[in-house]
Amino acid sequence: MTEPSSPPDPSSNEGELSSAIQDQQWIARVQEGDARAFDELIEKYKSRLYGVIYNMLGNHEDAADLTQDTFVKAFKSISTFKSKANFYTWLYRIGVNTSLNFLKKRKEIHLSLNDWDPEMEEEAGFMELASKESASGALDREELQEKLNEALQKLSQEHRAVVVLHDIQGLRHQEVAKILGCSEATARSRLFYAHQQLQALLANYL
Amino acid sequence: MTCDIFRPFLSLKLSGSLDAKQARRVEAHLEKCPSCQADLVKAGKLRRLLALKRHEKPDEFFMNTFTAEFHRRVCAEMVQKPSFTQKLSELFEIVRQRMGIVSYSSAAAVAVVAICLFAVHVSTPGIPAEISKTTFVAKAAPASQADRSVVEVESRLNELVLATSQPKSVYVLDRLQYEPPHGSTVLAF
Repeated sequence: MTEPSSPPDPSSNEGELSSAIQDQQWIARVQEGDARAFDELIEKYKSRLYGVIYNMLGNHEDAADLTQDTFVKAFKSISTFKSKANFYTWLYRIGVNTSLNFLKKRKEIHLSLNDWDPEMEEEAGFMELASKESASGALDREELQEKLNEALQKLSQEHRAVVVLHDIQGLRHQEVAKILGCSEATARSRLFYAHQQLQALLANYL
Repeated sequence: MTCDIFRPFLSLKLSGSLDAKQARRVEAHLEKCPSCQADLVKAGKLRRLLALKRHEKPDEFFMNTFTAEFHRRVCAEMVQKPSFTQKLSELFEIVRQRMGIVSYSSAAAVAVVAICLFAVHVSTPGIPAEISKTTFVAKAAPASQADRSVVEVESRLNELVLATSQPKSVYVLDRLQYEPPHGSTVLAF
């Protein structure tokens, strides 16, 4: 198996284009019957898709399960995928819909609060950001993650989805609208309202 | 222009989503408005705080075993014969993806209405004209004879049902005193 490439930075058009071409090549192989080509797509997107679903659910165990479900659904309906569309937009749409259906069925929210990832501290970007974002100057990182997760889970599912896709995954408003099946104006409006709510919930950290 | 109008544009400015004209207008407002400047700072902090979550990754066990688990699930689904419900939901999912949410919702709404209309049509019994003109009302006897009267009424109703071949539902049995409908026949016990 080839070394999996990470998804492109959405802000880079060139990177996005080459990634889209690569995806289409793999998809074409799958549609021709080479099921193993789907493994390449899994390796490329499993981490980011997991991030989307985890932030929708707030629970690692359920997120792992639903990420699997999403890829299985995508694999079973790969023949309906149109080559003009972006694969990750289509995949995220399945993932978000699966998450929303799961949340509707399950009333309670089970947060995985004790699953701080020690490797995250080694990320240079995280250290820099975390050190800046404490009003008191001495930020408790576990507390920060906990507050972020709690604040996200307090948003409605629709508002949480736009924040997860735009602010966390870095997708453009147009892509967010396509994934959620709404207009771009609606996506922006939900994002604004979600930001207002989050600012109120995270006032002590801003 | 008031700050309420500019506030939604502050996040858009941070994400670089404003066109040149909008950006100039927002900048011009910010130069004169300390309140919006403070809001812009808060919006920037929130944006960076949320961006922290981009660094979250699943654990190593998840990463290393994911593809194998995927293969196991796909094989398990292939072996298991899908239920009718599963096939139906998969079909709906494919249709929904192809049609788009708006068209799909409209088509689903039309289908539901059609099914309800059909159900109402099928369940409405045809009541013959001669029966619909007359409602037989049985008045129950006083409480002291209640038990025997109930049996007598029930017995009489059964006779009527057999004689007229109409279901019991067209006959009204009322234990309470009330004014019978005009033209109805009262069975007195």
